Amino acid sequence: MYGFILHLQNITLLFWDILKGLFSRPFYWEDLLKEMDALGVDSLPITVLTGIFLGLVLTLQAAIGVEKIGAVSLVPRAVAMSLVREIGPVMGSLMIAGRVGAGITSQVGSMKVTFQLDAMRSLGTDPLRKLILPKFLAITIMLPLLIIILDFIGLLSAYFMASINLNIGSVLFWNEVINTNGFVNIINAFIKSFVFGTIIGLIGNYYGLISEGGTEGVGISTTRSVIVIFVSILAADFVLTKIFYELMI
Amino acid sequence: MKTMLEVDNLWFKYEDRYILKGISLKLFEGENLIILGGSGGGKSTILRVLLGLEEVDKGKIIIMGEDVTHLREDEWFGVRKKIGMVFQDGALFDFLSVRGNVGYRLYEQRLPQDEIEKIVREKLRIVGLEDVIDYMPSELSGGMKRRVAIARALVGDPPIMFYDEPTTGLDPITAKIIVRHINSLRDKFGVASIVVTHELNYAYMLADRIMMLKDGTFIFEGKSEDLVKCADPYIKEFVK
Ligand SMILES: Nc1ncnc2c1ncn2[C@@H]1O[C@H](COP(=O)(O)OP(=O)(O)O)[C@@H](O)[C@H]1O
Ligand SMILES: [Mg+2]
Repeated sequence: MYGFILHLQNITLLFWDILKGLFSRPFYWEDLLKEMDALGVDSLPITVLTGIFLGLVLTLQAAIGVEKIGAVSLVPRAVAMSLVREIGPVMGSLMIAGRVGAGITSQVGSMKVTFQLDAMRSLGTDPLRKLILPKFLAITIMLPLLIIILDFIGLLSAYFMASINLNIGSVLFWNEVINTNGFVNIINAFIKSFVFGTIIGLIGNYYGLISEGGTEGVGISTTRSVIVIFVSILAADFVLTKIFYELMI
Repeated sequence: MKTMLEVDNLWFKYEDRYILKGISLKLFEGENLIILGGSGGGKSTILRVLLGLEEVDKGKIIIMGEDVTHLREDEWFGVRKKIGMVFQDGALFDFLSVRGNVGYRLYEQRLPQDEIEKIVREKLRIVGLEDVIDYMPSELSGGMKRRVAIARALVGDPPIMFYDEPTTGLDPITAKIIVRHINSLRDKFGVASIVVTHELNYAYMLADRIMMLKDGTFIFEGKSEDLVKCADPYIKEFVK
């Protein structure tokens, strides 16, 4: 318990340092763009694949539920709601967190244990600005965009499944998608994945920075980092869903 | 003789354990000061503290006349320009080429490409490694990494150099090459160096003065000849 509070406190401090770094100079634009490419653009394949399979599965799953009562026309509505608002952002963020969170922790961690972070400081640059902040910001910016793409791909594959397997026409499908408050759903997904991105960036960096004891230590931190990120995303998802529910959006 | 660096009654602890217990030392212009001691004695910690990488509890650090003991991190950046640090194993940035590593400071200062290239080549020439400029650190041997790290630390022509175990883990021939580089920086450019090591024979080759560290305090200071004659049982065991 004491350890947990200590981690929480240190993570909060790191978050505070990052925020301060955001609003002061120097700001490393090139490193930000590089990280957006490495953490974001390079996560596209996993995003697209996740979207495709989620769309297929959710459509089938919804059909199983409603086929018996002959209400197959409800499938688009059910899929749109669950995929765009909930399953897409959460599953997508977990998948991407596996890649990006582990990547950030192992990279920062290995630089820590081989004294590259100290070398950076000895050469006059602040690793927080040069390394931590660009990684944090990159995933915070890119994750919402990736999730929007994932949602869209998911809907396409859901439509594909629905039309082939359930004979649902395109007009019906896309009308239903839009009628289920499509725009609000997207905003929902956007806010959620923004928060999830912050979690990945913050915790990934944190566990990298506290790595100790050679390559073995980096391995241990990376595992911890991914677990903590996963649990935090699920917890944050509950909190956000509850807030949206109370606000009726 | 000009004093480059002065430490007075310095105390430092990790958590609750004191690692440095009231050490004092002086580094003069153009000398190699060797800090000798067994592993875990606090040698690396001294260098880290003198670079502002760790915060001290008590005592005073003066670098080229400036009291730097309680500087903030951004103020330390200015001070660190005066010191070239060669970490144990080099600590080269593994995502940058040799060029990127040696020129790191200059790229950060956004100097023109051709100027950077000129300085990088000049520093690599000093350590005899101009031909590996396009290599990645993973393609270099242990000795080459150290030499590239020395070249990187030389950018900006710092009057003070720190070396953490520069010869450890190297074969005798490569280690002697490193020793020769450190000595020639002193002889040619008047650089003042602190070299931390536990290897006695290389300490002798480098030393103008030796200080022996044990459990966070200095138990000897003097010339190599005096170390051999010293009656202290720990030192006797160490020199044997
Ligand atoms: N980050 C750290 N946290 C706690 N203790 C440390 C840390 N780094 C080093 N120490 C301890 O400080 C002591 C001195 O370490 P160090 O200066 O690396 O010794 P040396 O370089 O002489 O081998 C060792 O006992 C080591 O265990
Ligand atoms: Mg050491």
